[in-house]
Amino acid sequence: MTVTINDVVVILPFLVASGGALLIILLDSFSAPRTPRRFLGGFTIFFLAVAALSAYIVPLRTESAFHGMVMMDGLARFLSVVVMLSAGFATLLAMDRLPEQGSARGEFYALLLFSAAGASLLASAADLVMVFLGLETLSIPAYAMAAALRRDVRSTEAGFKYFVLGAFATGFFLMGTALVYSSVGSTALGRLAAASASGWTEKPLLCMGAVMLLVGLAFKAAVVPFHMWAPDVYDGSPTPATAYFATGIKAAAFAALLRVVILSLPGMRAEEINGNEIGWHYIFWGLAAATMAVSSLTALVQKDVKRILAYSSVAHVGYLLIGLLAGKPGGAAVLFYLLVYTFMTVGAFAVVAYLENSKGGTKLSDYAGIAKRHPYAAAAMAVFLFSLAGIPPTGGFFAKFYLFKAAVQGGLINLTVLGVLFSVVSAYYYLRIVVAMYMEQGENQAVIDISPSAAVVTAICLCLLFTIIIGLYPTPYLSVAQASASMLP
Amino acid sequence: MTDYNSSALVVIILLPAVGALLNGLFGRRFPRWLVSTVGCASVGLSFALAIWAAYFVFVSNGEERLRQDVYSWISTGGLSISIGLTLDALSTIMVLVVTGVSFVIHIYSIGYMEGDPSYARYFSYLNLFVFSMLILVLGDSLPVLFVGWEGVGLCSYLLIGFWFEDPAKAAAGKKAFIANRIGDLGFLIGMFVLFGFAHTLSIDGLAKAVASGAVPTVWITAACLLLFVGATGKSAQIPLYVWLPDAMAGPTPVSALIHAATMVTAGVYMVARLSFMFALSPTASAVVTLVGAVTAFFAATIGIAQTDIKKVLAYSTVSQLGYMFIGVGVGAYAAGIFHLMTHAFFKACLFLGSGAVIHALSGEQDMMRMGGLRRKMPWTYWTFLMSTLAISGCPFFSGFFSKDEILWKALSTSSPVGGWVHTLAYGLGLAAAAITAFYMFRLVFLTFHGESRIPDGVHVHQEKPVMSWPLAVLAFLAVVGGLPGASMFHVHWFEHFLEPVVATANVTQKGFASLQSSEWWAAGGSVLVGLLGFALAFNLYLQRTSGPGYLAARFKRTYDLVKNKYYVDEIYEIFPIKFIYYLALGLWRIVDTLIIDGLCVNGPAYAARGLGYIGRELQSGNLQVYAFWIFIGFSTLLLYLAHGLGLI
Repeated sequence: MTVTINDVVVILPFLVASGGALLIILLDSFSAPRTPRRFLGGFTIFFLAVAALSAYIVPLRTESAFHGMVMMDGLARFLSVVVMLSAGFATLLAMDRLPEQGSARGEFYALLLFSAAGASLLASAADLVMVFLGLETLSIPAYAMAAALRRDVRSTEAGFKYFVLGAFATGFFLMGTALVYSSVGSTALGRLAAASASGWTEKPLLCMGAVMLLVGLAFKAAVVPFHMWAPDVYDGSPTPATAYFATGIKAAAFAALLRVVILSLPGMRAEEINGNEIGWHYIFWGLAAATMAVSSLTALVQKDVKRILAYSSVAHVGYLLIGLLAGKPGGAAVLFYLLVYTFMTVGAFAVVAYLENSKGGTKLSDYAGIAKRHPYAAAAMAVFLFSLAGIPPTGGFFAKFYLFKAAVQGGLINLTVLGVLFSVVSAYYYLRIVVAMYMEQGENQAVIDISPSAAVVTAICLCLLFTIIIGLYPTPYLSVAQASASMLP
Repeated sequence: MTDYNSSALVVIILLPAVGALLNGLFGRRFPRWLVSTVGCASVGLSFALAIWAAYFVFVSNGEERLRQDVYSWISTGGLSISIGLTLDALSTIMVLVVTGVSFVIHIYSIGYMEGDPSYARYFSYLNLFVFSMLILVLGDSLPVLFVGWEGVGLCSYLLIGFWFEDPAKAAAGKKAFIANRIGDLGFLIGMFVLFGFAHTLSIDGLAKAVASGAVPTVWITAACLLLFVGATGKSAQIPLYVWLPDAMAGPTPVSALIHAATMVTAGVYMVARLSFMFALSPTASAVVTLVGAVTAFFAATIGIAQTDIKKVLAYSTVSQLGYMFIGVGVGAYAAGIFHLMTHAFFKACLFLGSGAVIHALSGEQDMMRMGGLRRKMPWTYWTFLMSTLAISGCPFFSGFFSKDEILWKALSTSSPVGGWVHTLAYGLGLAAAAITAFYMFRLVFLTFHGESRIPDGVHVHQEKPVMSWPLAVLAFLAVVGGLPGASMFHVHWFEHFLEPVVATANVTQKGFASLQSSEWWAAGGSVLVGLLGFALAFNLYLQRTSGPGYLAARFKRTYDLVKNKYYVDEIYEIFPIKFIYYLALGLWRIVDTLIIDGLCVNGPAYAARGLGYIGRELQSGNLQVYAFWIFIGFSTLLLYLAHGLGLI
């Protein structure tokens, strides 16, 4: 087997990111122990930027490479960029946050790059084996990132939980791959599509395998009831890692869901057998409804901002699942949503990190009266929360709007009504943070205010800028998303 | 009409926005000189750029437009709204008036607001206002226009209640806001009606749709009337005019800029902008004419008996806006806009002059405690006098040409609805002209002439140069501003300039309209009634100073009625305010608290919270439980499929 230039170009984002990670490990090892590792963050951002650009600017001869194992199509491009963006923002937060907490080593950046490389590979996988490879390259660094604060019990607990449950879910995915292979005789996603197109109801092993694949991916995307790890892990991990988990990994998981379930098993969409309606359509319907309901309702009674944001990120998974059912416009809406969602969620976590840096806690009561002490941070947080709640003129409004519009066009009226209802519920827990910040009196007035670091402020400002710009002028971003989703059925 | 693309338009708009942002975000840390520089320079640059852009429109005699598609805002299904800007002849006039007058008033404010602690907030709001007003006049579709329309409303609210520590002033702000909301509702519904038929809201698109007959005439009338409801709110016409006199609670430069020269004329501008629709609906035009005429007369009579110097000017503004609506109502769209422009000059000057007086007397607004200020404040006096002559229709001053143009058009045309409409409007307008001359000279005599009634101990400050120069500039414009439209001297430049953009109204010219001499006769009539008003004021307030008191006592009932503004505020207080209040109270107590809050809101909310607690309990932190749930989820899916496939 020979490797052609085209093969290399197709996986260029993966190569750049993992090569960058290796370089950072080297730099880290050869730097004096007392040298601050902040400069490694700069390298990380550089490699992420090159990786993101390389997905778009290098011309390809064919989209597919390595004998059909990977392919660089619109979906892979778009989601690679989203992942790199998310990882870049996480780097900015980490540059400021982690040295403070005694985790000054450069490995965090290397892990981040490795994970982003895995996510990119996952997004461009065209074979179940490659999906698995990407999934693991994405996840294993993530487990270590969750536990980055070695002296913090909650961080190590988060890492451990994430690892054990992640391994459990991976088991499902592998088992599913095996079952599918035994039924179809191939792991290539293209062959699956052909096999599922007809007579899938006669193949119980394929059905069982498909469900196991779904469970493995649904775990990564934090779909209810496979989401239980998410609040604990998001809460315990260092905030930069949380920001990445909640956005980058989520985008990658949706890439896999789109590739494996929607694109490769389209035949299993909906079928009626003996008066029973079965198929993805009904399964996703139930999962979306359960995800929205459980996460939104549980978020109502949380008392910690990071936990509220964790449940919020699960709730957004629920909305995104609706989009998966809505065909091509739904797919475009999902991609657009993931982009906007990355900006607003990372922005919210960036403000959390910023306030943590000022020696504030993450409890709702710690946020009381923040607006007086940190007026700019509070205002930015308010914009992100309004956007998450889907209030115009922010990007979050158009993200929800296009998603629900696609769902209505796809005939998913009931699910859309549920989605809108739970958006209303979500407004309650988002606005509760705003109320705490602006309308409640803080008990702890003597907060030590360290000067804000340029990195976190940059992250907040960029997220704010895009959240607002997309809210005022969504069309170009939407048309890119539409072009990227053009291969969907 | 030829279109040219230009990206200058968005810069004209954005400059004041940048100023507002800078002063709003960092103004508190800026030194004062920087706040004033940012505030004035942003508008000044915008004005300069506007002149440059307007030049292209001027040299083409209004035949060319500058266009800019900024971006497509919303595009979904049948609705697509793009943010586009157009500088045609009509918006050229508006943009120049808005930026020019704003610039002058910004400069004046440096002196007027000197001692105010919220200096930066003031300039930030003022810049924000200019930004919104420019969106309003440059927007090329109704939604964009509406964004500006709401934006100026918001700024007006913020600036009326600028000194919100005083509850009366905060209440005035609220009143303005609510009256405007009522109007805005009409505007919105009007837009919906138009969209329902024309499927577009861009001005050009509407013009095409209306011309092609896509909108039935009766719905054109309905839409025009609904939009006009919005105009009565914004431009303070009957029945929604009540907020404007109270709006005088704001700083005086704000009254000059927002509540005299620019924002309140938005309704007139809107009618002229949509003239292609109003021209097709004689009914709507007749309603506009009559509302304008009645308002012009009615508000002028209230002005007679007010003693607060700003209140007189406020009612005068309401009355003059009435004139503008007569103009656009009788189909003389150019004349309405012409009066809008000259009024911006002289009324801004009058307000700024009254501001100088108030400033000099440390906040005194009651004319009964003024008098004899002529010698102490010569700049203010002379500029004020020029503007008074202009508003009273003294020949060859700006107001003479513009007001007469409107009255002449009303007299010489006849509406398809009935001949009486325009005749009545002319009659009321003529009467209002006499009253205007009377109350304006009453104001001048009480304030600047006669014996000083200023209480002892009040020191009269000299006006500062930074406040005098704006007065001089505006007074100059008030004198010569009418020349571009001096129609009785065959100068029709203004009318011709606007011709390409405004419609030709559906009215009949009366027989004498073509005779040059009849226009002279009509003008003579206006001058005569103006002289009458002047003579009466001269007689009552300079010669026989006991006269007003005697008359007030002799016709006590009438006097009280007028002095108390016909009790309109009190009537509104009973209906609809009290009525709606009690209705709302009942609805709140029974429907809202019991049914909606109790059953519909809190019920589900408690249920949701309860479910939330269950969810939280499930989230135990226990790893095995989490794994178990994954297994449960998997088993459920598997059982579902197996059942569906008929395996179990």
